[in-house]
Amino acid sequence: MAEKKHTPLQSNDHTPIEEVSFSGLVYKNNKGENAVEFLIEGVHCAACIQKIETLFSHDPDIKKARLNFSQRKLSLTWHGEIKRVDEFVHRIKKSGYGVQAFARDVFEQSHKKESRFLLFSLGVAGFAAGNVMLLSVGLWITTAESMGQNMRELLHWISALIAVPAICVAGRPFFYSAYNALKHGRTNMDVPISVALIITSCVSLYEMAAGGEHVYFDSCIMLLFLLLIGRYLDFMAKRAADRSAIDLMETVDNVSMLVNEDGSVTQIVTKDINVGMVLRILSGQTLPTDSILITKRASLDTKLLTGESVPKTYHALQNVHAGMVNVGGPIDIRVEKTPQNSILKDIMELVEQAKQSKSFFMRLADRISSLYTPIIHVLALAVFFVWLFVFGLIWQEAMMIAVTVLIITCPCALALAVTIVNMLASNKLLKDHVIIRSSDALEKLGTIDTVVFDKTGTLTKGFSRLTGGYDVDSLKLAASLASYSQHPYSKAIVNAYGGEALFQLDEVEEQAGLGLIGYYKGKEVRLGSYEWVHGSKPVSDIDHTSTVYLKSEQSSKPIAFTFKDGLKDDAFETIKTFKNAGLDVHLLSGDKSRVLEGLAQELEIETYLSEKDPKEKFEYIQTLQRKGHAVLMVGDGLNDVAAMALADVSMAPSSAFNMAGKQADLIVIGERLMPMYEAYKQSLKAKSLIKQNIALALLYNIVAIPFAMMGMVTPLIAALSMSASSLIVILNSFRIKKWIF
Amino acid sequence: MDILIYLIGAALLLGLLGLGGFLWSLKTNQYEDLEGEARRILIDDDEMDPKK
Repeated sequence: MAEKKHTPLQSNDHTPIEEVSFSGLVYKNNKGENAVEFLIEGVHCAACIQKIETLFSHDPDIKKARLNFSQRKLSLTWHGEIKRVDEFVHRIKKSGYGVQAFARDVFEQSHKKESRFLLFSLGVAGFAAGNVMLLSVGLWITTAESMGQNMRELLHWISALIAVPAICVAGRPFFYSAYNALKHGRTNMDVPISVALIITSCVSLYEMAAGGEHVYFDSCIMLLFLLLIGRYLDFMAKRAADRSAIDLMETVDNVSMLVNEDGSVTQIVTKDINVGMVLRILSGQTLPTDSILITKRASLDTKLLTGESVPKTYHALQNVHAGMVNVGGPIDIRVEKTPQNSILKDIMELVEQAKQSKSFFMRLADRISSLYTPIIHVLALAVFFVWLFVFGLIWQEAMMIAVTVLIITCPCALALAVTIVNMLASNKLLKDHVIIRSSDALEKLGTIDTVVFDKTGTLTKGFSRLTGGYDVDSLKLAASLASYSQHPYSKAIVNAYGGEALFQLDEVEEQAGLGLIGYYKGKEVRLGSYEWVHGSKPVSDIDHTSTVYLKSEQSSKPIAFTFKDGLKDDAFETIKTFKNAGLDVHLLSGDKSRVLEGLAQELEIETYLSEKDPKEKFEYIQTLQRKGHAVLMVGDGLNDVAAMALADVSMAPSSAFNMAGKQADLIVIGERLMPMYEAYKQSLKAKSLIKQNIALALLYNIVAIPFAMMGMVTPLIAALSMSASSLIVILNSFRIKKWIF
Repeated sequence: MDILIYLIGAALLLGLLGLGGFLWSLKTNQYEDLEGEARRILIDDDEMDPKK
């Protein structure tokens, strides 16, 4: 095959991507050493870890070289020159692994901190629970007569010595969260938990000092241990979701290529981009910010900004915007605005507006706790007064009975009721290729009655496909020429031909925005726009944007190839299933009405709106919500971000633009749409299980409270019944793994 | 019953040792990459000298 040749658009040759410097990504760590992180591609076994780490083990300057297998991330720190980073990259590449730039994530750091905090608390609580239980068993099976009062008191004291500091230290995740909620005038499940923990400890201390029998350190610390396990599992599930989302979208888009004055190219982190810098955008990359085009001509895909499925041609000195995708050869742009002030800013403002106007979604567990907390506390108070005044008990004993009411009603099972179901459902959905990104997404999804779809890239594949029939020879010739280009239409022709053996062409050149030219057996072949092939502008008003012409010696008249953005394979099926489930389905697009009309008919969607800009999409969702609908917005582009932020819950395919992906509550991996319905179904099932769990937890309370009010609960009964109720709730949650209601 | 004092002491000591071990492993980043550590067992020590 002839050597690929691009039209010389610029004087300097493009630096091949392998020679791009990584030195822009190096930072100083807190010890003053140079540090950098890469994503390594192709790591899949222990031998790979060894191979990569050994590459650096004999270098005296390198302080640390460690590959994190779960994240495929290599951390390197070294003394000396920053420039050596390129040598390191070269070493890794030479041994057969891919290296990708990886911008450090602050988010990741805070995750690490929280994970440690929870694990630390869990460890302390586990230690304390084990040891206190050991002592408590002795206390449970004996009485003051058989063991002796002094011995009992000693055991109580030791329990207190272990339990009280442990609760102070390991209870902090709950105390902080409860404090934050109260500070903002809300309550959550952590409020009654914290109250129960604190009151139980205080009363037990008091009882112990008075030489009493009702010491509840065992229940208290066991409860804390169980709750922390639930909390940690919940956190891990969320972290797994975040991490896969980060892997999917952030690694590449966080890094841009900077063209230095001497013509060399270095990688820089997107947030460091400044006005006046010249950036190089390779084929297939997204523009990071608003800029002016330097290269003579560029073919840019604006579908993420406008929803239009056909790429547009831009000329030198024209303004180009963040979010456009380069579908031609490499281009250079001069930055006009920093990424923070680019066109993204307007959209971010709409997103902010959405967040403010959105009604605060209260999770079921929090709604219950906002009722539960006051009721329980009032009940305990009532019990205290009734025993004190009606039955004439001394206040210490009345107080003790009131406190047992609080202890026995501690919402351990309630707190686990939601957490465990959510965690199991997230894990199951992950296997079905759905990532849940926000903790209340599943609950919100269970409430929707309307689904609004974006078109391009969401319902459609987002790339063009050849339509109609063509004779094999013309198609082969077109494919031979098209194989030199990255343009979506060229790719579509090559895909449609599908064959391996292409014609040998010579001197192929591509003119961005116009077409390709080449020579087959010495004869000129042209493939491209009407103008490019016919040499003049089209006379009629017929739309030529989705047509490409082939002119060759073989046929007298240019052959027209027409394209259409293809629907995803299961689009019809998915929409039908959503409709059968009783949901309203709407189609909302930025594309031309002509394109949309046919599509809506094909999909049997009655409500569709075309040529909507981001603001209009936002307003459409607003109108729906004012009418009392709960809306699921499915979108993938920058133009959907604001609407997605406003919608009750949002989904994005994994191919989505970085920002849309970040906004989405759920991300669907792959080309299929059906997982979206699976997620909806799963959310309904989770909702019913959560309700069952809450019913079980409340039932337990209804049974246990009368006993507590009568003063019949001993520390043993409290410990047993609380663990049992938690266990029942956990076991019930595991039913989500089966598909039966 | 005096034996209990020693037994409780011993039990607590063992428990504290376990807790200490856990906190040490937490502090030295041993829970950062569980999948990787599982595979690292397979690497023979004499073949490499990983920089920690």
